[in-house]
Amino acid sequence: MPDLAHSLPAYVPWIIFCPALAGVIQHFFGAKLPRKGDLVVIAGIGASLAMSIALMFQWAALPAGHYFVEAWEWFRLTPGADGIAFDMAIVVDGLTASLLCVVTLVATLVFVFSTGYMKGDPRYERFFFWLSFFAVAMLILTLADNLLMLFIGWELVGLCSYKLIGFWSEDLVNAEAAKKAFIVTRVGDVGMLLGMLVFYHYCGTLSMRGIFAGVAAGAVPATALTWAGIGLFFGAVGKSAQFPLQIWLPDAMAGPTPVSALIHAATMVAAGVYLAARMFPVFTPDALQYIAWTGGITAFLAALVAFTQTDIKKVLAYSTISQLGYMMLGVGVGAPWAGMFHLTTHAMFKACLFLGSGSVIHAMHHAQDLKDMGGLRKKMPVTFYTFVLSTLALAGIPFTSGFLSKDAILIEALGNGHIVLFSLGLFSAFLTAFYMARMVWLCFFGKPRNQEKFDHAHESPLSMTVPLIILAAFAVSFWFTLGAGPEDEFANQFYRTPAYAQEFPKTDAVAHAYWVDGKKPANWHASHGPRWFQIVAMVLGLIGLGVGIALFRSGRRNQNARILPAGVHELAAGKYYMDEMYLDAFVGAANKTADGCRWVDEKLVDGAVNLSGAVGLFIGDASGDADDLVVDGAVNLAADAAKGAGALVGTAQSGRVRNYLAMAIGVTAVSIIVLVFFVIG
Amino acid sequence: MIGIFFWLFAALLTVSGLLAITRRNAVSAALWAAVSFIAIAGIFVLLQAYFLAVVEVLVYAGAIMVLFLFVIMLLNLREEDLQVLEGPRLHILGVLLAAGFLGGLVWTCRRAGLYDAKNGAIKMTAESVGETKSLAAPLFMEYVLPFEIASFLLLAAIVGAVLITKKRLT
Amino acid sequence: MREFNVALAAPEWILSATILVVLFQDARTRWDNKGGLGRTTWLGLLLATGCAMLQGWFVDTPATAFLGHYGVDGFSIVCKAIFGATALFVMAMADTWLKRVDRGHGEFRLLALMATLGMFFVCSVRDFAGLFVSLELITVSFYCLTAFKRNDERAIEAGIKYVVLGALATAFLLLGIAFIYGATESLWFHKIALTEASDGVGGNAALLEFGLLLTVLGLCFKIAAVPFQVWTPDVYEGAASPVTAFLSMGSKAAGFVLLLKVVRACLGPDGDAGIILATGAWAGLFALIAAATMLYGNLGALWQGNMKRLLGYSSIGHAGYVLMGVLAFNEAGFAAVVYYLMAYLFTVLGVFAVVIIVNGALRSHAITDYAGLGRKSPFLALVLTCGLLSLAGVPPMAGFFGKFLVFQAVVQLGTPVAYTVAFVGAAGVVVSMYYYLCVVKQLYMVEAPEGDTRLDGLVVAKPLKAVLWVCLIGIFVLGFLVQPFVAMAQDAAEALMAAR
Repeated sequence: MPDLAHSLPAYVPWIIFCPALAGVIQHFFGAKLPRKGDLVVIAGIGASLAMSIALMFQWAALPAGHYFVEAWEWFRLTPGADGIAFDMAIVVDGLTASLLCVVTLVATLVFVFSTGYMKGDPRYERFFFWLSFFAVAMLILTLADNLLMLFIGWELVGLCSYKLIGFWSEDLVNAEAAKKAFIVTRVGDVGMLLGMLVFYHYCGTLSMRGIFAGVAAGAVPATALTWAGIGLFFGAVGKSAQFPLQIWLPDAMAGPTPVSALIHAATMVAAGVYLAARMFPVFTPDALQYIAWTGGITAFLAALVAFTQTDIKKVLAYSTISQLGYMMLGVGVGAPWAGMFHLTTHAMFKACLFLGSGSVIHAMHHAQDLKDMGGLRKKMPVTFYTFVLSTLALAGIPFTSGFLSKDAILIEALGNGHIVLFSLGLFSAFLTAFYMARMVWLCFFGKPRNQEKFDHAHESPLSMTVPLIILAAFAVSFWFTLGAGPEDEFANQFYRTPAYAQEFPKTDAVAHAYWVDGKKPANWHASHGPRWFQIVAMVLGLIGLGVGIALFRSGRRNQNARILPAGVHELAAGKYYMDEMYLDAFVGAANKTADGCRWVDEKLVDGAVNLSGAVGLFIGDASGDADDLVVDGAVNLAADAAKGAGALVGTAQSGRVRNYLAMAIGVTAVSIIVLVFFVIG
Repeated sequence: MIGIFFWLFAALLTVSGLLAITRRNAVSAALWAAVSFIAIAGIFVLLQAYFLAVVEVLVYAGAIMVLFLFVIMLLNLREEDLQVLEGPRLHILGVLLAAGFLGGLVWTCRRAGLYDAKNGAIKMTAESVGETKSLAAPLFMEYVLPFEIASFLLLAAIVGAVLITKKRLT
Repeated sequence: MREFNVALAAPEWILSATILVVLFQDARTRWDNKGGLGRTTWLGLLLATGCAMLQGWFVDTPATAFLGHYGVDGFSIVCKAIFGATALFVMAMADTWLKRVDRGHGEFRLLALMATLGMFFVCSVRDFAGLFVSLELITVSFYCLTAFKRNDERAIEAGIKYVVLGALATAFLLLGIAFIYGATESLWFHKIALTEASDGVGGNAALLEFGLLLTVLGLCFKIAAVPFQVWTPDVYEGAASPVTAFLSMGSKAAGFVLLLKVVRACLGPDGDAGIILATGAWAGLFALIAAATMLYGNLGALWQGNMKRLLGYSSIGHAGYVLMGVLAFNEAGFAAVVYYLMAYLFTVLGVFAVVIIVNGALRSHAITDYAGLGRKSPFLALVLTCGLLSLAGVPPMAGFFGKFLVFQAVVQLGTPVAYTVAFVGAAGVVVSMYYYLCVVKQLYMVEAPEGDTRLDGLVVAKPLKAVLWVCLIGIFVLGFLVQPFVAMAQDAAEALMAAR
């Protein structure tokens, strides 16, 4: 096999450094710069964008399967002879190159959009600092060739997300949402960390190359591999808001809308999919099953909830969860390229939808409930047309990008024999078209439901509409079939041959052959002929749109109309009561334990506190007497010492501290017994 | 013969120790503690550690206990004060825990074979442990460093006592 | 080997001299003119710390003094640097804090110096006699420091609790040492391994094991681990803030240094798990203690409304994480412990520095009173946030790396016990996130009540500002540019393993 690795172009680290530098400048001088420094930040991310595009072309010029890689030693642990080196490593393959472009492009556009959206905010400069910081963290995550470095980026994006969700902290709800987001994702991160450690244990390294090599060589036992894979994936479950950790993403909509667009739609939440695709070689068939089902269930459940929401951003949030479920489904059925492809197209049109909703919210003076909207089509034409175009893409209508990528996932689900998941996906696609039609209609068509707000509504400034237009342009399938054949050529070119895939084959040979060489397994369902389901999908999408429009065009139904059957509606509107369940199960349990600790505190500690209060009083009295009686130094000292001793005796005899001692001795006795048993046994 | 005395002193030590921690009256508790120190001194004598025995009586049963009594009487704790300070009683638990600890201790000694006849009831190694020389030589040569640290320990205690009893400066 | 070679103990000599100078200086100055004490203390601490660190270059390690009872090696030097830095940071906090106190300036500095002296000795002792007296020197100094605010009920209470529990722990320790002496007929650490090797299955092993158990449990008091953890929140709350800071770093680290020495002594001469530790029961016991400690600390902290109580519980939790490093019983684990302590130094002292400053203005430790600090004093809020996130183990901060190394050392063992304890630890990390974020939320996302001007215009004294900066930089350096520090920790662990 020829050497596939090429040395990294020198400018690549600057993709990270440019926004970092801009962020530092912004942090220290932001308030003093003209326009509060937003131009600096935009220039930083713009430079990254330019370099990312250049890098993508440079990578595309390489033969298939080749990649750039470079490592700098970071630190070295020396339990063995040579020790284990941990590197700061950057790898650039198709996954990285395309995700880099997506991240920097969406980030640039969102930054530009924010200059309009956040205008006049008292902490404008701080907002841009955090945006820039986020971009840096996301780029670290994207470029990392080492799970440790990836994890650092992973946590940093979470931190930025925390700060930005709670950016408008005047409302305590936002602060709570921010905290919830951080902690729920952190639950997933624990799984990820444990997965990482298992790989480290067996492979002795955290570099991707080392892990893939170790797995390919069979260094990790099968069961451990499955669990480690699921552990890693659990990190993705948290970050990408998959079932059962999806509860944080809707609440995260409390942040400013550009943040929702950038972090909670296009980039950060997609990082989970990126991780799953990047680590695809290590997933065993069992782990992939788990991933596929997680994705399919999430896609379906979230789509249902979207019907019950009246907040324009919440609808989009659930649609994001649902679409992320699709991507995971793609990875899980053995087609990470399809998942990544959907990630790319989705990032564009969902960012456009979020920014469009931001534009609407901006026009409506921060009203974001559908009850205040309606008829905005005339008032804000640019927003309207871009929004509709992106909606079509989301609904998977032909000639849009979403059609290509969603189809790719469904083909793979069907082809690999996941009939149930395929049906679930197909049905969810119908639901998606349906609820998006509902939202678009309620928002832009019909009669205004809040005349006063409607009268004040206006089209957003250029700084906001231009990003919308650019993003909407990418919702057209044209870009993704450019210079390639039909079908999923784009996905093939970018995502089929990630770094290391050819050197270290997947343990599952059939899956590997399909993944890297496109060689279909023997049991591949013969569905490529008539592509009947593509037509079905298209028709279903159109029907969904049609039904949505038909139901709402008469104007008799408003945002509160119940679409779903009664029982399902209740369930979906209650978000399947998962928040409450968690509250009961985990928080309740934690509460109980904390109550236990509190009991120790109150019964043992507070008792002692009261007691020493009494002792203190006593000392106070006694010291008054003693001071009167004895004046001389030596005697004085003895008397005071006596008070101390008295306090000591008093407390020790009173019982509370005795309990502590009893506890300590008890544990000691237990440990003696444990030890004795172990040793004897 | 030594065995009999050992059991005698050990019983005295145990009983007086128990009494010292169960007496309500602080003075009698302190006096029982003094008795237990004397019992310890007796055991030291049996171990031929005469110097330690003397020190035990002089320092603990003598000086320290007198200081304790002085303090207790100066403080003049009345029965009522003690009543106020009564807390929940966990006697049974306490006894169980102590029994558990004792059980562990006995078990360990059994496993170590300390009760075996061939090991003797008391292991004796040095022939002249009782002499002050055999105590002084290691203390000022071998263990001079811990000895010096201990002097700082005492200094810390003195400074602490001064600190806690010192009056306000202003 | 068998020489007095007293010059080797130069750092301790310097500290001792400083103590005596301060003692006389205190006696000879009026109460309102105690500035000179501070200068002497600073000078002494700087010299002693510098001297201890210079020994790394100028002393051919390992070297011994006092007939082999005092040793200097890579491990002791790194630990002394940690303790010296701790003492210096605490002194900077105390300078600010003592301005609010009208008595006992000299005594405070003396006791802090003596505690530091004890910590220095802890690094160098090579037998159980030294272990005991140096540990008691620290403990007795802290008894008095805890009860420093004599007129404060809570401080008195804290002092009493600390003394009573401390006495019990001391009794355990002493009884344990007696048993070990009975088994090895020696007080030397290294005799343990020899006894194990020569008499592994005989009666002495039982005595030795029992002695070690009691010793380890006695040391648990210092490190605030189960079963001797109960004092921590009360004492943290009741004691003066600089004392709490000193306790949470210095006293805890001293316990760990000794624990490492004892555990090392039980390992075979080549670092293989000696006969006793190889039985698995010990790993199980340590794992039990570590898991219980992490759970107790992290769950107890959840609903705390008082900053210092919260830090008390969190400090219990961290003791559990460090114990994870100990229970690996190998060089990687010990290196992880040393690194964790270095990271903890910058993190926890940074947090306490902010707590002291804020408390000076608030006269309260209620977490709700921290509301609005982010607006009113961004730098303090930044240091506190970074400190708390580092405690929570968020990368790229020091705490993350400490946790990472500890986890990797444990997981590397690959036993079910190791995985279990790692899992408990990981769950604890999530829980801890919650309560740390509760504080961060107060800083940035809650406004101070109308008209509450207590936090306006906080003035930070120069030395304290320096501490804040050093801690902030330390938190990030130890979280990112880790190589020199990892190497340092590994050298220390290597020296520990090589110790005879």
